[in-house]
Amino acid sequence: MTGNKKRIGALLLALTVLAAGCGGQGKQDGEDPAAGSTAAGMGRYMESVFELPEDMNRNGGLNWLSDGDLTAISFGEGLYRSEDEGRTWKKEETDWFPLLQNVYCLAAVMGPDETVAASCSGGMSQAVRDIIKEPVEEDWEGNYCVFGMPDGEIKVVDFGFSQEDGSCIQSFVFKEDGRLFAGDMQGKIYEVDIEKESLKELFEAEQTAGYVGFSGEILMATGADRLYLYDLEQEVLLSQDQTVDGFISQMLPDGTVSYTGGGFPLAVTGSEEEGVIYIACKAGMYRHVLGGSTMEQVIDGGLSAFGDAYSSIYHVKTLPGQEFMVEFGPSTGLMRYTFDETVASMPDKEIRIYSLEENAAARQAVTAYKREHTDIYVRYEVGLEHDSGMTKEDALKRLNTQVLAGEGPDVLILDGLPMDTYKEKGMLKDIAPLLKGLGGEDELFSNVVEGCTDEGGAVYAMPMCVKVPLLAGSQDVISGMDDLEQIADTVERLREEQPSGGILGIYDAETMLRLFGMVSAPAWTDGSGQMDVRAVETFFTLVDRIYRAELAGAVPAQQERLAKEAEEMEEYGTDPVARRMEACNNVLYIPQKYARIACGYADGIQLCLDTVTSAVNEDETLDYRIFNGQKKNLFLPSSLVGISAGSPRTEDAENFVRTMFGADVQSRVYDGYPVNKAAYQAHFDAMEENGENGSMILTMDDGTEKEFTLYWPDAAQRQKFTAYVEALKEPALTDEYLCGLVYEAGVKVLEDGVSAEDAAAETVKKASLYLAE
Amino acid sequence: MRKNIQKGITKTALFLLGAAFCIPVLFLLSGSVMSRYELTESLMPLMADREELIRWDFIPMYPTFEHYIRVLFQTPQFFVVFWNSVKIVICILAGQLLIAVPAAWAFAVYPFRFRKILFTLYIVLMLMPFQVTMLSNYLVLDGLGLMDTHGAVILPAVFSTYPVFLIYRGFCGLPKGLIEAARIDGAGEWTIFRHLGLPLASGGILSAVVLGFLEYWSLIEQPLAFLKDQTLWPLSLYLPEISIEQAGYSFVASIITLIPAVFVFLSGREYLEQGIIASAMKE
Amino acid sequence: MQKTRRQKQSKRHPSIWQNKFRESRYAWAGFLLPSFLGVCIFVLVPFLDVVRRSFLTAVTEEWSGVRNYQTVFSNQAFILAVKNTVRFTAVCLPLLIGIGLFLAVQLSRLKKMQMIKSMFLFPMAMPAATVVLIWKMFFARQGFLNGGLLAAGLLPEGSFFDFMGTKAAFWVLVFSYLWKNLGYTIVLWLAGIFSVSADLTEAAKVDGASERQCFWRVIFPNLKGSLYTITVLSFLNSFKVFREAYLVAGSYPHESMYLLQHLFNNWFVNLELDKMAAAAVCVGAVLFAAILVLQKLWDQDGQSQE
Repeated sequence: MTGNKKRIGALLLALTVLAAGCGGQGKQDGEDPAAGSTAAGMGRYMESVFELPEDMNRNGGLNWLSDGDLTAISFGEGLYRSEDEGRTWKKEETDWFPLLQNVYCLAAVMGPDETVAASCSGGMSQAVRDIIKEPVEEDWEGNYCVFGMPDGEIKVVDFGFSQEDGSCIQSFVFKEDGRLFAGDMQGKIYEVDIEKESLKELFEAEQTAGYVGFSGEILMATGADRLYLYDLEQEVLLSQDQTVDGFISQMLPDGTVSYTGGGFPLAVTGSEEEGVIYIACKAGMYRHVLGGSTMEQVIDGGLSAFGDAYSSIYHVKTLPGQEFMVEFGPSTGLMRYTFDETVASMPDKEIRIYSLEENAAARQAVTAYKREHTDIYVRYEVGLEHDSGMTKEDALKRLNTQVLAGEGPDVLILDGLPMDTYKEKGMLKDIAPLLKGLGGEDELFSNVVEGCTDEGGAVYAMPMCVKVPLLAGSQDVISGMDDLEQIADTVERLREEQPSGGILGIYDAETMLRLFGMVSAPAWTDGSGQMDVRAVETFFTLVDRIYRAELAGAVPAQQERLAKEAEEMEEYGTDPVARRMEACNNVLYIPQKYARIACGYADGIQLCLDTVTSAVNEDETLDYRIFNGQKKNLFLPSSLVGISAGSPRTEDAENFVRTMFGADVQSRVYDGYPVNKAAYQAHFDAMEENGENGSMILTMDDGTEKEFTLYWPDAAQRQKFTAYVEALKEPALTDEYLCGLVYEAGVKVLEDGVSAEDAAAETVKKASLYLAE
Repeated sequence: MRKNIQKGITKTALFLLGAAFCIPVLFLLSGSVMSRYELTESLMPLMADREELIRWDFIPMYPTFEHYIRVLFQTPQFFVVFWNSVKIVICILAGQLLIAVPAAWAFAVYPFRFRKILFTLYIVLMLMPFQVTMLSNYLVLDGLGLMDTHGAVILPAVFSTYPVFLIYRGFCGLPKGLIEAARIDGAGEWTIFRHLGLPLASGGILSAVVLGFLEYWSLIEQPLAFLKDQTLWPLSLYLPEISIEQAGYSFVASIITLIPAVFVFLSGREYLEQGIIASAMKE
Repeated sequence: MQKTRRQKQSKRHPSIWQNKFRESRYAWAGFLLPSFLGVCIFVLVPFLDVVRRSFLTAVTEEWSGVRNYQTVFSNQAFILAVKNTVRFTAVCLPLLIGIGLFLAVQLSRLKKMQMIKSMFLFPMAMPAATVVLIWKMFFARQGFLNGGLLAAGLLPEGSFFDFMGTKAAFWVLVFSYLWKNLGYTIVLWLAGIFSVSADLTEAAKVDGASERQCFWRVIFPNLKGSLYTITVLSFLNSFKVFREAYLVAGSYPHESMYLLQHLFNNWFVNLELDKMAAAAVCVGAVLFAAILVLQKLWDQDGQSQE
């Protein structure tokens, strides 16, 4: 009996091990990419940037012509040619480009002899129909290919990919010897015979293939977890290279082999050495001998554009002398990599940046700083590892341990970290002198800096951007809403005037509490961090009045519709409560007649402020102002930056912070309004005044649909908004836990009728444990 | 007759109780073969904090192995992480046996001067929660250059005083007379230890191994604190907090974490008993 | 009389006696040394560092004497945590030991109990994250316990209890602890029960003792050793309940569930290292004293057994 059990047990374990082993097959041979590096000590590939003209942003990839010129076909603008290996570019007129204009192009490449191959999807323009021999129906839509021959002839070929199964030619690749290959959506790779206008299938990959490159006579196609190697001479798929497959699986954990916006996360190319291939990916450039067992890192992603978060690879080419030319997109540019033996292989200086969660603004700063300082290794660490057993407190404990052991980061993004504790314990450096020293193009909004200065004149945390709370509604109404009490009074008055209909259009207790809490929370704690029972009680009383007034005249149909919307959002993974904190979302309820006032925060212009200003412009009676609650003139700080007091690399840290607040990085921040004045203005300049910025369909209360067009704010609106921004005084810094307690108790007040007094007392009691620690 | 009925009732009652204890495992099993859609349906009220009750069908309508396939075949990290756990646990247990068994012997058999105090110290050290010594441990390990290696997790655990305590009890049961007799017969200390002590205390040693395995297999705090490199992480860290998107994955990962542990205590338990019965027989 | 005998013995075999004494004197050092060294480096030194920190400020490490201890003793959170932890231990330990003994005795009377024993051991093998989900599924507002109570008519329609948010949270924790640890407790008790030689029980039965008398008079007295082991182990495991409690109810759970470890955890997150160190030293001192006393009690009985 027991023997059997043992056997079964052993069998189970063996099965598990085997199963797990199957999963890890590829990993066996593949080395940890971080392990490989160039020769010890000296020598590193240096990056030279060739900026591409802006019009070339979305292009079909670099093409190397046999006469030494470089070309690229921009989907929007046409052919660009460079005669000096990519340094300067000129636009060229061609006969075939008009056929590609205003059409959705999936691929556009040029062969060494200037043959053009492009794949388009959609309807056929008249010009195209003029070329194509057979007659085509009026409303034909599908995939067709345009070929431009070197002698000027233009061909249009429909290879018969049907619209229904969604297949089409998704990429074209020319080989150095002029042969043309194509890949379709289903993963098949073909060789194209333009003369005969036919396709010859070579092999089929499991899904759409990614980047295609060549090594000698071998065609290499990137798959999600393997590299397909097709021998063009033997016309057969070669056996897999385990090492490369394992490497690719590791580098593409979510299986994406190409980006819909263009570019690839991983590209593969051959070199002049036979059997040696190079793979370009986020982690850098790796060299591999086909059939071998190692991936050797030749360029470190952390030290070059490979590691930039927002760039993808459009094209890779190895040049004679083991140099590389890589095209990054969508707007990064062309990079040429040349080996320099005089430079140290790893920069000896290092700087560490830390944020609890992935922060886009910090990433931008890292990229910019790396470019300016090639002698410093920038290490950006994200503390919280999602999808693991780690909780937020675990990440914080680990950070604290590192800091106390002297190995902490130099620059911290304080969002989510216990900022007050750090300030108290002296863990942050005073950056007031640094900020005051920023002038000229780097000048910041002084009111924001002032707001973040404490009584001693020191600044320990400065946000990279701010969100602005706005209140919109008819002018006479909002002018009387200067604080939370006035809001409550006005709402009740509105309810008396109009017994039925939405006022704020919010019927969920938590949402309402959070909305008003956004601009009231700082009032709940006094200077020493203790909770102010009175303030909390007032908050409950006032919000309760607003909620009651709202519900008193609520229209059930509207309530239902909003509830359904929220449910749908949840199923798609969006948090409906968070969405209702945004002014741009809420302001649309006014024209839809679901509400008469709207409030929330604004964090940008695109699809944010423009929504508010457009709504206000459309309806003469509407206007907007700063949203005040129990506190006035608050701004919501985002991406707070601090320098660790214990950091030995003060100078580098300060330089990094300067970069973070410099106009360049700030203009790329979209998590709020940049605090850098020049960048702030640049955001407004992104589009022309009153430019049309899209439109949306609004469903009105009675079911009819109305089109709502968004217009870019004009000069007057810009001025008005800027005046508001400059009038903001205090940062709305709140303790997440305490706010949570308030909201929890508040829901009981609003929904269960608990008295404000009791709820406030309960909240303070619960908080006492937290504060007593 | 009555006795039999009574025994029967007792047996059934105990069986039911045992089954009740195992209900969570049934949840795991059924959850791991549920399709994503069913899992979402069942768990949505909990995740989205709605007002309705959650449901659970023990036999899913559309059983699927997609989660198993995803975890075992499409997540290369899983393999690495699994073997990390195995390596860590085996090293720890082996080290503990080497270090703790002789130490327990020393405490049990030799009445040396500071024995009581030292032993009490051992016990108190065993009881200290990790948060307290986390930073100090970090500094020590950093100073020894063990940070970010498996050694940072293995070495402190090898010298844990927990197995010393467990095995001490095992040795305590040895009759003193036997040892004296062996000494008089001319046996050296080491021989006594090897031939007399070890076999008789095998029960204690095995219980230490089994309990130790169960503890170190699900070790979370230490690897989190001392291992930065994710390729060194053990399986226990890989179990994310179960949310809807990850529910199936988590269930399967939990089952796979469970299997070796179950295997160990199933087989260990038999040896445990044999050892105990043997020592009882010897008397 | 005895003195003479001993003297005579030593006179008769001086060399052997001295040899043995010399060997055993150093032998223990050989056995203990590796463990002791390791414990010193990896366990004792960190603890001494903690003791050191209890006299310094948290980050800047300036001398602050006994101020930390004063702060800790008057700290509300600490007092609450200690109260809860003591309460938890005082409730859990006897429950676990008692129920474990009861079940072990029942099992000991049966023949084929392998499977049942294994079933009880299962909970120990379950990883914390899984246990957390299962508890959420049972004890949350939308959980099965509410569903069951509703179905059984014990709960009025429409009112859901969030067990983790009320005083019941304490009992959920106790339940979780019992669930996890009953398995090995039963195993250890069984080991103890079976180590009592069958002859004794047979003899007692022949003498006409009932099952119950058999147990209390014959078996129980021999279980002191097991009792000691089980007590210490259960005490140790009562600390381990923290991770699950933390994952289910967060860093600031309901008051009744707030244990010492929650406090230590939060103090560390907020860099209150000085308070944490002082509290730890206090707790350590108390434990030291308590265990010494326990040892005295047990050793007195233990010696007589051996």
